[in-house]
Amino acid sequence: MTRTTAISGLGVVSAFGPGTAVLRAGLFSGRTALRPLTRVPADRLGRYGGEVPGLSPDQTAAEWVLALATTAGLEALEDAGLRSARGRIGLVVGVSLVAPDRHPALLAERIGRALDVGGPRLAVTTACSASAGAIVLARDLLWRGDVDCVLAGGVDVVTQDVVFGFAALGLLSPAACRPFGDTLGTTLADGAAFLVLERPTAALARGKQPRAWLRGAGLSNDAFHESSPDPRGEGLRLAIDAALRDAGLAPEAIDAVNAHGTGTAHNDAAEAQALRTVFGDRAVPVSACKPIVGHAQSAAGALELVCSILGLESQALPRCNDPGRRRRDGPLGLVVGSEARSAPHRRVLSHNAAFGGANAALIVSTERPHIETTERRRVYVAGTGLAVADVGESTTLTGAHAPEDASALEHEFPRVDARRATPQTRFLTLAVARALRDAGRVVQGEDDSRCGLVTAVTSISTSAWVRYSESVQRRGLGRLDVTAVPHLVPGAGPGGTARRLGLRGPFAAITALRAGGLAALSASTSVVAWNYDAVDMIAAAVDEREGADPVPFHEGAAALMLTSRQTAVEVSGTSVAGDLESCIALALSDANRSLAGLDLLISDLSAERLRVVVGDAVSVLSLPQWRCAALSLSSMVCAVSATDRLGADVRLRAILVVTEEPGLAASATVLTRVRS
Amino acid sequence: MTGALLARRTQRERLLDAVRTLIVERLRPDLPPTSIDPDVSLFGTGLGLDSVDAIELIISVEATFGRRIPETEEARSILRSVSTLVDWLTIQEALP
Repeated sequence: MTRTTAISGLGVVSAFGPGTAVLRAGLFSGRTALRPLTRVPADRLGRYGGEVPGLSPDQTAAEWVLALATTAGLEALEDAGLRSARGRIGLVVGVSLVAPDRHPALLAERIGRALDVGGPRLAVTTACSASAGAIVLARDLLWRGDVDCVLAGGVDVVTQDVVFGFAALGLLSPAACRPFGDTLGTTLADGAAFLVLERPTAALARGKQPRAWLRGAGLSNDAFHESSPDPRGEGLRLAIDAALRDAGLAPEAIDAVNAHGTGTAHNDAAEAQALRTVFGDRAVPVSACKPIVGHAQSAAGALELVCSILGLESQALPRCNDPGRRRRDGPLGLVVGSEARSAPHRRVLSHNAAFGGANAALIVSTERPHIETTERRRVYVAGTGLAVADVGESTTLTGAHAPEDASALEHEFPRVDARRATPQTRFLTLAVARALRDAGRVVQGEDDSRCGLVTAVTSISTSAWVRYSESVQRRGLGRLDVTAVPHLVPGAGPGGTARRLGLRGPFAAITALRAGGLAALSASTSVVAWNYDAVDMIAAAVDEREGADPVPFHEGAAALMLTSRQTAVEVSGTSVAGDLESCIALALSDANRSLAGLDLLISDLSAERLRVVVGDAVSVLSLPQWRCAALSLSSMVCAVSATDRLGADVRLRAILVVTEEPGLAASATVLTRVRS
Repeated sequence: MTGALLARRTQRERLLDAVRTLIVERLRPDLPPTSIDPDVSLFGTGLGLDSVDAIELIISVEATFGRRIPETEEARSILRSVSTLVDWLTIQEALP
């Protein structure tokens, strides 16, 4: 009853250099790729790191990222036997470079173009768990039928900003990190890792024997602190439990754990606690790859999953620490020693945690499980919320909303802690709280592990970036304002919302510019449709104005709450594709409808562009001024209102909302009014 | 000499058309392409594009012309107006 997925190709660039063969040789030899940093002038701070050999200091960080991602991506595609015909291959990539000029969407487009993949290209921006999150979202694309095949993973590099940022937070180790050992702090690294995911039947039909199977996956948010994990390990435990349930496995079925194991005091303690809660007194072997390849940040989840698969293939576990250096509160079954341990094992749990509280857990195995298709639940809209600064056109459609002022959050939701929220988090929290209220929930900011949040973010909070830049200018990188650092990952804004509203369910942050809003809706729909816990999900999108942007700029947030309990409006089809035509066709097919069966098509594209694709088959409402992620989702909110409130009177029974971001993705959703 | 000048002028007109069309199709569908003054500033008070438009413009220029806009201060001067962008593309096309 699980969505077991074939992993048919692997590709990496680690601190050992390019290639899985090089990584395998390094991983199980007892060597480490960590050495003093040369590319980043780090003076007294974190002198150690895992730099990929051969990156020129003359190039920019964005050029390093492109080079690493292209090398790793090509290896994975070739390993999977996909040398040509890459039309319906999607790309979901975890990236987290801090700086507006190294935009995640720009990186995703460049990587996709360099690898010549024609499907949708999405960036996942939840920092240190981003690539693990990317693998989870990629699997959803695959099982919804949006793509035949998907390349999922992540890439990151060590830059001056990251080294000094981690140093300011006191998270860097003075020497090579020793997870669960007596040296506190982590060691940063460059890295890129990709996996090719396919449906089992598709891989086997083309004669490809998968290298491993992705058995289950789970996401969560700590809802605890912007840069520290929940010391009870509860957030991580939720993700691990979700992955086990998703895989249909009991904790006893896990033979080994590949821990996040950063080496920092807070992470290791929280992680050990989570493992104790899940596995009890059983000393399941626990490895951590960071002493060997370093902390590859947004690439860590995918890189470590590749390490787990190489371990399964070699029947060996990487060693974690030098002997005699383990902490008392560490996991029971820590793999220690100077060399890898040879150990028969069939199933590995690999998990990651991140700033902003985003956790991800993945379960891989080399055994071929029974392949069964799963029943999808129907998904309904339980509530909607908008918080739009410059309302403009949306006022006329929604009626009720006036331009927001800064204190709306405090006035409407006095129990929600709005202190120190960036405008991005403020807008998002307000829209999400309104959606929760609209769905009949009392918003008190208390912990709720049964509600998750997937957000489309355009970038990091622009005001947070300004605050950081000013701090660098005024005080220098060596004396940074610590509170500015955690906001430099795009997932930080949504993480702030999850924390303020206590949303601890499945959590992700996606960047695909204007296609992001509906892509977040699609991802949230998948969670509700396939999750066995009947969790509710909130799909949201947020845009924050930059200082130099002209006014009016469409700034704000939109949110939809989704549930499997029947309401008046059903999300009957969703899709994310590489181009507009495919995306409309896929959403209609998912909803089991034809163009002629639609009453209205709403889009931020121009009427001319839409006519080229749909002709005169359907009435079109074009809103070309709604160009941002949040506003695309706002049109969705309006469509729900229209379907819900007017449906009975005006025969508006099926609406398609669609948008396109050329170079990245096109996304669509079909809403239908449920006959009562 | 005249032939070379003519060729350069044709190249410039071709790039100008392409950039204007791209801006209209991607960013300002409410404007006819020829109404975009090549020398008016793209951001701020001129054409009124914003920071999200900037990323979309870079993506579409790179995808259309296959040239990577550098991630430095140089990007700002390249993207100042349609003219500066066309100038930069002209130089890029002359490179191997």
